Amino acid sequence: MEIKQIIVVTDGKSNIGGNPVTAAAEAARKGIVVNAIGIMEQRDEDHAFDEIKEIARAGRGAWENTHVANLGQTMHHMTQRTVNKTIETIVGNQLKEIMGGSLNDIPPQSRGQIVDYMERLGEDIPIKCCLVMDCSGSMANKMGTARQSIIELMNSLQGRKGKSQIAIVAFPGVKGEFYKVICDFTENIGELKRTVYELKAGGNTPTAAAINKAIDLMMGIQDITFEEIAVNNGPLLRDGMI
Amino acid sequence: MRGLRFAKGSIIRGKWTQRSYQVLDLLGEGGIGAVFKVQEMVSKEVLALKLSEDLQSITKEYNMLKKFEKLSMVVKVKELDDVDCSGKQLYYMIAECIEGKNLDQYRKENKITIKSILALAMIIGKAFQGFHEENYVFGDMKLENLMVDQKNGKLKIVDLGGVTPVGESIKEFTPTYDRASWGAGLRKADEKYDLFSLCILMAYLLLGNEFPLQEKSVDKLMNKLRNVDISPRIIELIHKGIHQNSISLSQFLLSLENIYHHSNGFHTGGKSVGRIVNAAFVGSILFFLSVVIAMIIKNSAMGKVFQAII
Repeated sequence: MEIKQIIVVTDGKSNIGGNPVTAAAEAARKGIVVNAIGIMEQRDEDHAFDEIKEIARAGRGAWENTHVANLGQTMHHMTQRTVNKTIETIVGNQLKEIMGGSLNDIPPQSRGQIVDYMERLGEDIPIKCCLVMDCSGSMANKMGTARQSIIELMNSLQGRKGKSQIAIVAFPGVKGEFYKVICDFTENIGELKRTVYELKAGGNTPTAAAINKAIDLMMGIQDITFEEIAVNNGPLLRDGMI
Repeated sequence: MRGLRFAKGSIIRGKWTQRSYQVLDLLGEGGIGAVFKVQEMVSKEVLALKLSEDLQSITKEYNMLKKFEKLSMVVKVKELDDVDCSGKQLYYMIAECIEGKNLDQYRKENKITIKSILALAMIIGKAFQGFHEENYVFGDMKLENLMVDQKNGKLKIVDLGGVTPVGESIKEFTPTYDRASWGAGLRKADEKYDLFSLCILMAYLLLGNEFPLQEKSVDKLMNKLRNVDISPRIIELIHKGIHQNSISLSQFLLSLENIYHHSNGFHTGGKSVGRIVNAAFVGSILFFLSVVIAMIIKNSAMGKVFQAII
């Protein structure tokens, strides 16, 4: 059992590379919770707003629009919420099986022990969190704070007893690519600190492609390059066949 | 808490205890709850009711308040119950009602002297030790969580939502006081986490309205503090506390006590005296001039015109 979570951080509407809502729904089907954080300054960007709401809804997560200065705190709270919801579901099912009811049916004074148990489960459960980070042109002046927030989230997750890993997928990538894997799953703060400086702003907003890549990372699916195909396969025709 | 508000005069009836409370006033609102001043319908006792939509968080806090009720600074809690609010189940606990202001409101309306700041830090630090002895960390220390009980002249801690067993992760925090938000350590419960927040709280009170800073940088904070007229020993101590590596909480409190008892002035020695002397000198010259001018005006022909103006 582990918690799989994608946090999409964006400051605008996606404009290339597919529909991010479909991608989020695909993630949810694979047991990944997709949360979405908008760091949009004008609240009048209605379409962008609707999009993050839809991403969160399809990804069975939460959404919030916040100032970039609060990004670290918001990511912490969203992760906490994902953990709590997951544990609530697990323990809720157990309670239903054992006593045919929920926590609400137990007198308040007796809930303490179960709540303690839930706390401990939440503390110990492994977490894999993939940040899908908007690095389009408009992010330029927010990049510094965004980098700091990622390190803050790592400092928060590493305070847990359970194993916590973070990966970062930036969108767009370089040279016309839709995304770039800045950092694959790691629990090493040093590695994360080194790699966040590769987050640079510029280009379009291909949110969907980046979410799809996050799903692949989460499920351990590797990109297959031509070289790999060549190495991993034997010769097409063996000598004896001729 | 959006939409989950009880109007003044409404009655809250507990699902399990069947006790009823009438809402007198809204005392405060937060992310997942609200605090009301209420009156128990039978005994007429005035109490505080904390309402929440989160079962887990309020149960946890109630447990902590019970566990630490022997600490005199911790607010006394009475019961935990559920209430139906138009079909939605909400949770509340009843605690003693502290008449007074929280330290943030108090700070805005009253001048807190450096000596009182040191005393406050010592009291809070002692309370922290009470938690640490039981292998817990206080976690979410902030001015708003401290109530000045004006009736009894005491300082009370009113929120134990951040109390965390040592070694676990801190879940409830306030960025201003949270070392991870400052890039100064993990969000993990160890006694240094509390030491850091205590130092920030002191810096907050010392800097007054210059706080909070635009950017959470420990170096910038220390520079600001160095510009304030306070004894360098205090600054040095805060510096050590914030960096957390060369001092324990008890050593920190010992030094604090030392400064508190053995120092005559809490200001930067000569600087403040110099300022007062300068001010007095300039003031006396101005006074002398005004007397001279007044005499000239009275005695001269022009005087009448000036007198008319004055």
